[in-house]
Amino acid sequence: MYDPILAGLLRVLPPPVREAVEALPPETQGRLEELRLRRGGEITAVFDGREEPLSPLRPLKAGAEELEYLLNAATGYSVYARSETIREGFVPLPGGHRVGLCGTAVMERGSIVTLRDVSSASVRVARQFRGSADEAYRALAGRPASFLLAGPPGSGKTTLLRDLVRQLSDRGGRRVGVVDSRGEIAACEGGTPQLSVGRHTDVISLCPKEQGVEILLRAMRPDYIAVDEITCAADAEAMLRAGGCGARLLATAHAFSGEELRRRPVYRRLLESGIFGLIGYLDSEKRLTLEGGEGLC
Amino acid sequence: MLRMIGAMLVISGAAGTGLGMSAYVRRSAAILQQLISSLEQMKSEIQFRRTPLPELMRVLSVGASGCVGAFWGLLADELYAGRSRSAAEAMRRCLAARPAEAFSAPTRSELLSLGAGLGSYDADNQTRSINLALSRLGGLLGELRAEQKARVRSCCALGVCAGLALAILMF
Repeated sequence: MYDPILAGLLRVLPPPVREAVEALPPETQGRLEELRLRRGGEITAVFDGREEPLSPLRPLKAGAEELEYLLNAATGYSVYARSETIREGFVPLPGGHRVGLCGTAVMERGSIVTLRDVSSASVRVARQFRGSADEAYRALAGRPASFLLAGPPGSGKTTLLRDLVRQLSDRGGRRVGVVDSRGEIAACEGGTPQLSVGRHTDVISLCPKEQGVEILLRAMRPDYIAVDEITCAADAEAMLRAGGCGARLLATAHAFSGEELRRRPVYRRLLESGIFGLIGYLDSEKRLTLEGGEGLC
Repeated sequence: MLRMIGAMLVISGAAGTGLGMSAYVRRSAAILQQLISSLEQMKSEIQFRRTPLPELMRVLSVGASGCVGAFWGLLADELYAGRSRSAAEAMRRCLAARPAEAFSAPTRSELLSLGAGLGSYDADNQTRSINLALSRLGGLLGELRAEQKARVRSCCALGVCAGLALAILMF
């Protein structure tokens, strides 16, 4: 038996790993956040932020065979269909889950073409927590504004963003455009979102943020545009352009604190521009703190 | 009367052998032609839609008939089931599951070569390996067609002559 949320993830796991996850008690399955496979090492699982052996009694090792199986199953035996994301080090899975990859980068003209000899993989579980964005939704419903959500890795930024999109769309009746560049917010499969993002939401999947934002602005006239993880200057630039086109933005950023957020050049520029009227911080305990964006810098 | 019937049977049997061979060659050519069409479609799907292999095999199975359609369907099932470690292994399994007469030995060998790299490269390199398979299958088809006329004609002539010779000997 297994948690139905894990279905999309289980089918890409090598059979012994799949059996080990299925053998976990339901309550433990519900706490599973990640699986880690490192070539030559023991396969581990992350529960509540802590990494421990997946199968302590019968240790499972990850070899080349297991990693090859995982990559083939995750890409549907089709590296070409996922080469854009493999280049960025991940493969999206059905259900919004994600396989992060490390290996030897194959370079061409200074850019990564693909990864070969995969050395480790992190399989991240996506979960939908309805109501996790209640507080942020209330703040935005009272005073519509662009919203930047910052937090450390694994603090639940994507989960909160997804719920906020759903609530703005369903409860607020707003048109929300989602640039799901990593397939984690809506996790579309065959064009249908696998995770609930609301009935007034349009999703463009696996598209670079900059181009996705432009397509949404041109084609869908959204009230809000949501993007996950602003990480580079090009992402920030796309946000600034979209902010100037009338659409409000919902975005997430990696930062351990407000101070770090303000210190990093990419985010500093965004904050200084004043386009974000509301800033949220998630701590590692998944607690949200909201503050007005004005005068942050 | 009995001699006459016997002679007729010998003649028709010999001619039938020739015609049977001709039918085999025609069937092989039709299979190769279908495989070539499928690979052309495969190339377009990969180049322009990046269709993942399981879905792609399903599309090909609908587009082709007979043993070619059945083969792509089998491969689609195998890939959807996720039993194989790689597309190459899935291809090997499916070819082994097909009866030997479905594909000739050179055709099997070409499909195995194609399968060896299937799904392992980016779209450009995948297209290149499909092009290579297309040119080799095209070569096989050309050879078969060139052989077809000469071989079938000589088989038919041989069959008829052998039958006539037997009939003369019997009378």
